[in-house]
Amino acid sequence: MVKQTLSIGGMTCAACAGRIEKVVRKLSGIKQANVNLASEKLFVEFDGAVLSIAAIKSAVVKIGYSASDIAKDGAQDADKAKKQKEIAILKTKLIISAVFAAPLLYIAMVPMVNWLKDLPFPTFLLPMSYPLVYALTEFLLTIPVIAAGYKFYTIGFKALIGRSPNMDSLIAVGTTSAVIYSVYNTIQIALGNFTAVEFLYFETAGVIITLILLGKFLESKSKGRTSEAIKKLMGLAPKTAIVMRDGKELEMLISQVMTGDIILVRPGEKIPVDGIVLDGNTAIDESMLTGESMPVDKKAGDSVVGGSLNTTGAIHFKAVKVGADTVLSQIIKLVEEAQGSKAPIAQMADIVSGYFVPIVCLIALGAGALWFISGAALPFSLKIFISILVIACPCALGLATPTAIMVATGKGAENGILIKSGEALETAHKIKTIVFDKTGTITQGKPAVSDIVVTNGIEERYLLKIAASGEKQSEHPLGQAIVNKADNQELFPISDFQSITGRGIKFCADGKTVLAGNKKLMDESGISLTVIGQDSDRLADEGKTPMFISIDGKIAGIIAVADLIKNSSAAAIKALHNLGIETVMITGDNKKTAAVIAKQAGIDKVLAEVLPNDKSNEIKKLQSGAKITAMVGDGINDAPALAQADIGIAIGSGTDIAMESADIVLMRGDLTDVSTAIELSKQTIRNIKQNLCWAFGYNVIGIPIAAGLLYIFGGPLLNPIFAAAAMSLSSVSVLTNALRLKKFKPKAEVL
Amino acid sequence: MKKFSIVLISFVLIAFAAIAVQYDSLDVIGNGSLVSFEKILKILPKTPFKQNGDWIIESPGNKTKFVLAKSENQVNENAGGQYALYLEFDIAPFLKAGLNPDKLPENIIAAKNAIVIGREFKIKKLETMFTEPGDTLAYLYQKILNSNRSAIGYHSALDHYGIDLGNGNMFEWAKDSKTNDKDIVFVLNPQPFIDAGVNPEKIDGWLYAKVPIMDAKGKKTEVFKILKPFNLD
Repeated sequence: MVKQTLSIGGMTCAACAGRIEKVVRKLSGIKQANVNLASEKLFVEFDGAVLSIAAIKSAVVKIGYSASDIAKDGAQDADKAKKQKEIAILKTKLIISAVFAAPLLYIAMVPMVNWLKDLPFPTFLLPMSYPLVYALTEFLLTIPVIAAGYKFYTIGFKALIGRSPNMDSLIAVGTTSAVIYSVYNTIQIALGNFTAVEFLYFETAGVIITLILLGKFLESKSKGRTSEAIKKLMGLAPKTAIVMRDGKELEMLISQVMTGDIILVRPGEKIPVDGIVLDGNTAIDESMLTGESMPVDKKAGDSVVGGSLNTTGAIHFKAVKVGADTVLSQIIKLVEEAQGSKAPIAQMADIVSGYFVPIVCLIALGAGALWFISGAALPFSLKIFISILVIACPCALGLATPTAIMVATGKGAENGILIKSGEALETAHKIKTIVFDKTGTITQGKPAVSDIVVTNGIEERYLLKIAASGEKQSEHPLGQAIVNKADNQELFPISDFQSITGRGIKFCADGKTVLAGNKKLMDESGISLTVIGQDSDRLADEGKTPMFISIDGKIAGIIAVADLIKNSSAAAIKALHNLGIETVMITGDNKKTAAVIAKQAGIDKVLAEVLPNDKSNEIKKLQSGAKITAMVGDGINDAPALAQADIGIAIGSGTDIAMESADIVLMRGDLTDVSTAIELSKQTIRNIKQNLCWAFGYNVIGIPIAAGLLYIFGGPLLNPIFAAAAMSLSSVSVLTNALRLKKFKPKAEVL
Repeated sequence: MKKFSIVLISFVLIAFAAIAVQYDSLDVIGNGSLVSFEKILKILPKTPFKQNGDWIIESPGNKTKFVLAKSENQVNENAGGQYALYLEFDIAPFLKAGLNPDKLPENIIAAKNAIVIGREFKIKKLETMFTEPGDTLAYLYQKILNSNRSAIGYHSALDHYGIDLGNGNMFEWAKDSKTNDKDIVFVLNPQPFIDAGVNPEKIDGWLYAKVPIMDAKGKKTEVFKILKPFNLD
C-alpha cells in the first residue's frame, strides 16, 4: 500500500471536500481517501500496483480542483510561499472588490436609508433624475467586483453542472440572479420604465462577493495559524550543517548530509540530524521536540536529535539518521497524518454537508416560489431566493472539526504529546480506565540504590566505595546501580575478581576480601546475617532488592536496589483521579513488589504476575464493561496491549515498536502528559461541539429568517447583504473559536 | 493578478468616460420629458400662447395656468412677474376653504383673483432664450432642461414628468397621455395653505390626497398634496 499526501486547490467548503473524497474513493485500488478542508490536503492510501498517483491527480483535476505533490525538500518554504501567494492574490481581489463595492454600496444605500439621507450625493447620479446613468454606474462598479470573485462562478457553476453544488454554487446562483435581474431592469429603464430603478440589486451582488472575499481572506489567514505548530516543527531543522570531510569543515545543505558523516555543532547552533556524540560535552535544549524545558547534558556516546539546540559546548557527532528517517521528520509526518485524519465526530458534519447545498437550493427555490405565488412581488421573492442562497453556510460545517483537530494536534506536538489521529484525539476524552505498565512507565526502568544499611563499624561511604569497586567489573544491572551511586568516588583497584552466577561476586580490594551478592551467597559462604536480618526483611517488604556485602568474612552491610518510581508518577496519577479516571498497574513482578510501587504511585488497582503475552487479555477484560480503556507502556512486550487498548499511549523514550503501536506518544516520558493529553482531548471535543453547534445553529436559524419567517409575523426581512455578512462571519467565527485552542496550557504548567 | 487588475480598472475607467461623453443621451428622463411635453402641448384644448412675451399653458376652464415668464421684471396682471416659472390659479376656492391671504408666506403671492406660486429660474439666461431664434415652447423647455436639469423630475407613482417649482410645488404632465387619466396636474404643497387657514379637504375643484413620492435620491415616502389633475383625452 502506498500512502501519499496531495495539496488540493480550489476547495471552498465541505461539499468540495466531500466531492473529492467521493470521486477518489471510487477509483479502483484506493483504500483510503481523506480530504482535510482546513489544511487543503488529500491523504490517500492505495494499491500501487493497481492505481497511480497520476490517476488520482487526474480524477481530482477532472472535477475542477487542482492537485499537486507536496515538495519534500524545502517543504516549509515552498508551502509557505504558496500560501503567502494565495493570501496575496486574495488580498488583491478583496481590495479591488472593496474599492468598487464601497461606492456601489454608498450610491445604493444613501437614497434608501433614512438616516443616511443627509450624506452628500452626486446630483448627476440621482436615481430619480438620471436613472439610466445611475443604473449603468452601478453596473460598471459591479463588473470589477464580479471579476475579482470570478472563481466563485467558474467553480460554482462547474460544480452545479456536475450535480455536486457547493458553497460557490450558492454564491454564484444568488449573485448571478441579482445581476441578471438588475441588468433586465437597466434595460427597462433605457426603454422608459423608470420605476425599474427601484429594482436594481447590483449592490447586493457586489457586496455579497466582497463580504465573501473578506471572509475567505480572514479564513485563509486563520487557516495559516492552525498549522503554525507544524511550521514551527519544520522550521526547527537548520538548512545547513558543518560536516568534517578529509579533516576540513565543509558547510553543506542538510539534504547532502549522509549517514556516517561527522558533524561539528558549535554552541548556539542547532543539531542538524540525529546522531551520537563522539567528543565534547554540552547541554542540549530539546524543548521544541519534547516539551522538556531543562537542557539535557550530553557527552560522548549520548544520542542527539536533529532540531534540538546546542547550548553550551562544541561537539562532534556521527550522523545516524538523516532525511526522512530523523526523529523530527517522523514527528512532522506523524503530526501531518494526524491533522489530515478525521475524527468520528466529523462524520455527521460530512454527511450533512453532502446533502446540504442541494437542499438549500431547493429551499431557496421553494420559498421564492411560495412568496411569489402568494402574491408577493417578483423583487421580493427574488430577495428571499438570494438571501437563502447566500446565508446558507456549508463552509462553517466543513471547518468545524478539522480546524480544531489541526490546532489541537499541533498544540499537543508543542507540548511533546504526539497524537497520531483525529480518532485518538476524540476517544481520549472518553477514557474511563488507564492501565500502566510498571517498569519504565511508572518506575524509572533503571534500578537505583535506594537504601544503604551498615553494621560492624563500617562507614556507609566506605561500604559503597568498596562494593562499587567490585561491581564495576560486573555487568549485572543491580551492580551497575551501585556503580552509578558511587559515581563521584575514586574506587579501589581490585584483584581476584570472580563472578558467581546467580549469587554475586567475590573480589579483593583495599587489601580485603569482599563478597557482594544475595542471601544465598552469604549463606553458602557461612556469613551470619543476624545483625541485619530485620533490615533485610523490611527492605524486601518494601519491594527492594537487598544486596549483602561482607568484608573479610563478616557482614558489613546491605545496599538495597530498587526500580524507583518516577518523580512525576504520583502527581500524574492524582491528576488522572481528579479527572475521574480509574488507574490500574500491570506488571510481571510479584504481588508484593507491585503492591509497594502501586501504593507509592497511588494506583487504584494492581494486576501483578501477568505474563507479557497476557497483558492484552487483561486489557480485553477491562474493556468488556464497555469502559474506554487506555494503556500506557514503553516496552516491546507492551505493544500488543497498546494495540488492544482503545487508546495506546507510548512513552517516547521507549521502543519504536511501542510507539508504532500507540495512538499517542509522550515524547518526554513524563506521565503527567497523560492527563495533559486527556485534558487536550476534552477541550478539543468541547471546541468541536461548539463549532458544530454554531455552524448547525447558524444555518438552522439563518435559513428560516432568510426565507421570511420573521416577516410573516411582522418582523424584518433579511437583506441579502446582511445574509452574506452573516455567512462570512460564521466561517470566521468557527475558525476563531478553533484557534482558542492555541491558548491551551497543560495544567501542570499552569500550576 | 497585477495585469488583470490594471486591465480591469482601465476598462471601468474607459466605460465611465464613455458614460460621461454620452451623458446627455443617457438622460432618459430629460429626453423623455421633452418628448412627452411636446405631446401634451399638442393635446391641450387651448394651444399655449404668448402674452406679453410670456408663454402660457392654460388648463381646461382657463382658471389654472402654468407660465414661463420672459423676464422677472415682466409684470402681469396678477403680479406674478417676479418668477420665471409659476403656477397661477383661481383664489376663490381657497378663500372659500378658509384662506387668510395675509397669512400666506412671501413666496406665495395672493392677488385679487389668483394665487401665484413659482420660482426664480436663472432668469437672465431664460430671458436670452426667449429672444433666440426658433422661439417655441418646446424649444424653450429644452433650454430649461439643458440649463436647469435638476428642476425636471419623474414622479413614478403617477407616471408623470414634472417641473419642480420649489417648496414641494410642481407642474406635472403624463409620460404617456394615452394610458394616463391625469394628463396634467397642478401639485401644491398643502402646508402653507393649512397654516393660512385653509381646510385642504374643502377646496372646490382640488383634491387633497396622500401621494407616494420619491425624492431625487430615490427615497420613497408618502406626503399629502393638493392636486388639480386634468384628463385631456
